[in-house]
Amino acid sequence: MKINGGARRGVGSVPVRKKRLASKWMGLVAFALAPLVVIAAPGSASAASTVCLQNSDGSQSDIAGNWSTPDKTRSVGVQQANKTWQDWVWRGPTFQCPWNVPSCSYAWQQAKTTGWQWSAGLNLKVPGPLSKALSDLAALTPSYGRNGSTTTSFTFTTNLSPGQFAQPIQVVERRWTQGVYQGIYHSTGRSCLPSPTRPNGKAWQYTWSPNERWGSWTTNLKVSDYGTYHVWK
Amino acid sequence: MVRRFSRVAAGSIAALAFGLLAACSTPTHSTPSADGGTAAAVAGTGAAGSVKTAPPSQLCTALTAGAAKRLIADARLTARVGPDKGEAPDICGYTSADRTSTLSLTPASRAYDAELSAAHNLSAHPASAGMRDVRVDPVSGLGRRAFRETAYQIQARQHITFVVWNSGARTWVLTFATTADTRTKPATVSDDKVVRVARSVTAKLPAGR
Repeated sequence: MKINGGARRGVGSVPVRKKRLASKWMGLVAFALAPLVVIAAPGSASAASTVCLQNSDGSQSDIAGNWSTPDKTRSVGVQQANKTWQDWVWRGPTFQCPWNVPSCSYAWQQAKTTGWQWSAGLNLKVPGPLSKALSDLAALTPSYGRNGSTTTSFTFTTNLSPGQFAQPIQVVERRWTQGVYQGIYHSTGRSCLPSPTRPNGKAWQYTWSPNERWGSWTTNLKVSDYGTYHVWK
Repeated sequence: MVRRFSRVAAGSIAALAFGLLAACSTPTHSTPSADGGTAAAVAGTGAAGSVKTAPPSQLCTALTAGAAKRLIADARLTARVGPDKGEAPDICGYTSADRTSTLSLTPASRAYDAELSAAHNLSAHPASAGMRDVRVDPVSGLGRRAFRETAYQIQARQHITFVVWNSGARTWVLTFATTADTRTKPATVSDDKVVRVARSVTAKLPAGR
């Protein structure tokens, strides 16, 4: 259940007791957010306080903070490759400069718009209990799922030698990047009182560990995008 | 940046839709596209920033805008797209505002004799490059040896004039292409403005290889 050995706060500590009434109330509010994988009580939250959260399976698994929780897990980039690589998102027809002319100046006379994603090939590695919320975690990764597009008017020329081939291409320059997630909720082991609207709900008191890093992700993030010609012989 | 491209493209698509495919601004050539289209010369301004452009060639110190305007009254420097890898070709080019005429200067990629041989081959087999009316004429008073090659590129509907000359260590190609639907007889070599421009710039060209 634990993720990367994150610190747990002592059950029944003073701050927890002080917040008990608030926790009850937060539990009630939380159940109103039933469709969420992670149900949270908004508005609670200092690091020392507890909030009532409920996993969809009723367990005390660690919980990543998402939009519905007082504190949010964020992704942190920890390493990136020096070099970038070209992701060809579109390629046009091929043209060959005839061999029996001195030179060709080539332009593909058309505009082209191509869509692509800012992040490609996202790979998440997270502890088992959290894998249920992979889509939530993916959304935390920088630019993941954001769509972009490039429109290029290939009215520019490129010069070709006799016999050379050319084709217009649209490129998204990407860089391999690796990171981790920071911030996690740990259960204190104390249950919250059932709410009137969810008498059978199993919410638990959780504390927020803001600096704890866990899991990992790798993806190819967009650096730039442009149109150009692929030229070869 | 992406949004800027979108705005530019929106206006460009309609204008270019009939021009589909490819072509040699300098033309030559042309392999028919799947669309069956072709395009005229080109170059231009367009979506700045959406393409990788290369800085102007040093050859533009020889083929100046003033020299280009002797052939294209409203000549403007042509932006070059750098290929996805490798060096951008060394070329200085100009185009007319309406993109119907282009002029470019570049070193030949082959020896002079190979260029002359290719020209005679094109004259004998113009269809291999989508051309017709190919003529090869000797040119005097330009470098050590020179010839002029005139042709009509059918798909691009361009009259093309190549002037190829050897100035010692290097061979140069000056290309002028202009769009026209009508068949016209090329000027005599002595009256050819393209040859005159070649003569006026050759002394300014770099001598080394």
